[in-house]
Amino acid sequence: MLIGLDVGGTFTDAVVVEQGRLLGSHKCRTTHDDLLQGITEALAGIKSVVIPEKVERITLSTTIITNTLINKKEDIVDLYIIPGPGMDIRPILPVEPIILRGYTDHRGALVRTIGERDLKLALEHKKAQCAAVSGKFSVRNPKLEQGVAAYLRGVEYDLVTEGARLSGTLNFPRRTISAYFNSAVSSVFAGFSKAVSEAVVAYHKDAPIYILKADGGALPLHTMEERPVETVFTGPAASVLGIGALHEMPEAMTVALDMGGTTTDISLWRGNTPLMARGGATIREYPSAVRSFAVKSVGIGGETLVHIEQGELQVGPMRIGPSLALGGKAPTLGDALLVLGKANYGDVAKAKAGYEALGKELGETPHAVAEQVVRQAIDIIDRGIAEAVEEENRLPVYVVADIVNPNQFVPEHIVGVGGTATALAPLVGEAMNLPVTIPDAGAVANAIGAALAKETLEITVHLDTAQNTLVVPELGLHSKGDGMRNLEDVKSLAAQLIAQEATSLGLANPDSCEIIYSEDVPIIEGWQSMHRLITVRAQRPAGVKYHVK
Amino acid sequence: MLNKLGLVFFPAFDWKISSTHPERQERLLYTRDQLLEEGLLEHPAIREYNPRLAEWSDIERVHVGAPSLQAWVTEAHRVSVGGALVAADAVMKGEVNRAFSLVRPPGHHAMTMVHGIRGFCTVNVEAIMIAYLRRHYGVKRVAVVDTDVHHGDGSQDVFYHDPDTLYISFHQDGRTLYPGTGFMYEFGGPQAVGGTVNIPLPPGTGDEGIQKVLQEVVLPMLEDFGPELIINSAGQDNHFSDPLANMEVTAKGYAKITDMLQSKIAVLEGGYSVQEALPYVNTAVVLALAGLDYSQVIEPAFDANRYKQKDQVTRDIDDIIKRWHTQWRGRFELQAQMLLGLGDYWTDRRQIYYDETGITEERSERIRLYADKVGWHSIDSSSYHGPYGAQHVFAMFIPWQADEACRRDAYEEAWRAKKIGGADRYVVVDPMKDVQEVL
Repeated sequence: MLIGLDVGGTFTDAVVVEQGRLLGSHKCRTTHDDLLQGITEALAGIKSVVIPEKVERITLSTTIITNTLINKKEDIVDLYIIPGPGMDIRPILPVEPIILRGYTDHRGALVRTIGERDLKLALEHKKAQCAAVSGKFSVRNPKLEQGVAAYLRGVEYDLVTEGARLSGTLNFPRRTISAYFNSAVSSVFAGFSKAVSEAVVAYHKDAPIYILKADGGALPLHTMEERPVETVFTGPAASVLGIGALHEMPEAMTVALDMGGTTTDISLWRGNTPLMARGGATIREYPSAVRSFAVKSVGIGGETLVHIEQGELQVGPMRIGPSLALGGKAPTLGDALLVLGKANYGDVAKAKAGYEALGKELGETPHAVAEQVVRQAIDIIDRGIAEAVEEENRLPVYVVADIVNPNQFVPEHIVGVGGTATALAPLVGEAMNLPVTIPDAGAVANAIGAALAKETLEITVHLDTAQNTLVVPELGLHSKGDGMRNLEDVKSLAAQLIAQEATSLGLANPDSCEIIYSEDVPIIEGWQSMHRLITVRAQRPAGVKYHVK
Repeated sequence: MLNKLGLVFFPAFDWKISSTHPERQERLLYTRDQLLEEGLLEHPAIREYNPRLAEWSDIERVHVGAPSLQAWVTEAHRVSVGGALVAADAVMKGEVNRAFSLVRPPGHHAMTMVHGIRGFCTVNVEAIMIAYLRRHYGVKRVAVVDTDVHHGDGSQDVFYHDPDTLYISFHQDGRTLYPGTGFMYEFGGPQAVGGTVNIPLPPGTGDEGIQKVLQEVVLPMLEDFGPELIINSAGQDNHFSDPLANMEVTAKGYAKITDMLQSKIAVLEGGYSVQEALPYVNTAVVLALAGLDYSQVIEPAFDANRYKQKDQVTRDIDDIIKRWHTQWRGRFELQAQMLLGLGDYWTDRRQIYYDETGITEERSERIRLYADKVGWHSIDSSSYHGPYGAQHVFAMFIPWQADEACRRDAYEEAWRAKKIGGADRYVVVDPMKDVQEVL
């Protein structure tokens, strides 16, 4: 028995699922001043169908970190960077960093170390209680970063985030931004974590509490206290998982459209696997290394405002409230769909009246105006899909084979969910000449997605046989290569490390692991000895534990 | 859009000439790592492009193979060429202001005839790109500035008789480095005198020297020539750490000349200090092309005292600058002298060595000279001892500027040659008609 709790912008939903069936759900208003009140109410709402001792996991999806960041309510944090030579990244950081003059090169060699004197000097800039440290090429050798972090922890910082622990991928600016925001939201997260634990314990003493991450995976709440930034943007993640939980994706390449009141969220799928964003999630205007689904939002939803601006019909991107048919004050896209007979709810006469007014102003029939509105909306969605596909297909290619046999994403199928999908998704399908499926998603898909989210982990293992070094940045590991020499050795080590980590976190199916990237480049040291640089990325894949009918 | 750089990055981790060859999988590995770690590929001032597989017809505008192009050109070469074509499209369609095709394998030692691999090169990437620009975008006057440490003898060969392509190469003096050519007297064919400019530089030339050459020789020549487009054959082996050459240029020095040159399209050529130079040179060059600050790109191995340009080197450079000023001023007179008494044809015989394949090509070339237009160029080309046995090809290259009369003359000449016989194949190349046909 799995419980899912989705604390959304408007509603807090609770669901109970077991063996492919939704046993119960409850929806109540999100209580923004005190989220726990809503959570408590939602849990109370499903109490009757829950058998407490059978609950394996309670999984939360929350907007708390997202809202903290969007509203710029995060703490101020001291950011220490070890940039070495290269591009000046200061202009793209959220704060003026404290620069340490040491560096590590691309092979992980320490070119210049950081002395205690440098650190003491840097400390004169201390302003905050939390810090973040990020060094260029710390994913090749985390020693400098770790050394600085250890020193800072020793001198009265409460919490210090290391960039390479959050991501093992080469991208210094993104890791730096992740590290910064991670420390900046840690106090908010800690408070939330404590309160949630207390609220849940009243209903379920022993059930482990998990929290959803942006990559669609769930991990124990307490482990996320070290990496809270990864719980940003779980709304789209829950929604993507919800689609996957309620609808078995065809083997084809699918475009999923979550068509809500405000936006249409576009995600791309290869079979049952939703695609991840290149690089990571963007927090405000800052690109981070937080792994997340590639969800592209366009400002088209049922409640998208339709108005006339300088004689031109405008569809969105604003939304000011419900449609006319539901008692709103201004015509919307939803009203246009009613006028065209594509949907049927609320007071259709009011929708028609609204479009009559628009028609009068434009000198056209209400029907013609509504058609124009829908066409514009579909154009915007089409463009959004095209951009998402283009981004996916612009992923870097490093080998000739990838160009000769490109693994391009070509949409073959559309799945539409959300309140507006029934009316709008078929029209998008028509425009793109693709088949459309509209699964019966129900109103609590996000909570179902959270309940069923798999537990994800990701690590990067980098072996340099010439220098005999092995690095796993996410685990803080930097050691001797211990006789490993080929790709297979590194792959099996990666699987083993994932299993170890899963076991220590108490995750289900600790042996679940897949290799998502591997690279094995022969190199020559001193013009004679042959060595290899091997990089393997392994993960416990994201997705849902099973489908719900 | 304004000031945006299009970057085609393709390290070809699955392609090598041989396991220990400088042109091996590892070459751009550390560059890739540095570019990724800097976050440069997703910088707002940079738009990344994937390369594509160039069509055979793109390559056939420039090259004739023996026994065939397919015998020598791999998919990796086609992707490398495709990278440059993508860069060209991005610039010509106005998607970006300039572009850099950071791809391998390189191409500037590849000549029109392909009997094998020369100086790590099989096909001439920039030459194919320029033919494509002319065919698809109507570009006419182009200047190529080759900043590789080696003389780009392949590019010189392709452009030697084209008065509308100015090919400028500065490089380590051919008396001290492969391929042993690139002297001042190689100054363009009779219908293109002054279209080839070679500036041999003494070993030990540093940032100061190449900047001076650029400022005082190259930029004024570009100004005089007035190209629609400047292409940079962007070799990176003038670097102080390069294992195959003896110059002392730094990453910042390369960025500086990139800045001065303001080329529209840059295409990577050589550069084999894969760890100590390439990651830094490429970072600096990409920053410069994108109009970003490169002042913090300093190689770990850099030592300001050690790599200060010696006085004797500076004097030698000053001397060649002076000699070039004189030669450039006299180019029209030189051409008049050269054409004097030539009549309708210019002929030449020479040998070309393919170091990688270990064979020698014997060539006899003819140019049809007209008073008022560019004429055809034929190459009777043979080689022995190659892996495919003895080869003998006659190739007729119709210039891209050709009118119908010139085209007719070229075919007539090719048929005439075939009638005389001797070669295994008679091939006509007409780049603006996408034709390479065997007679």
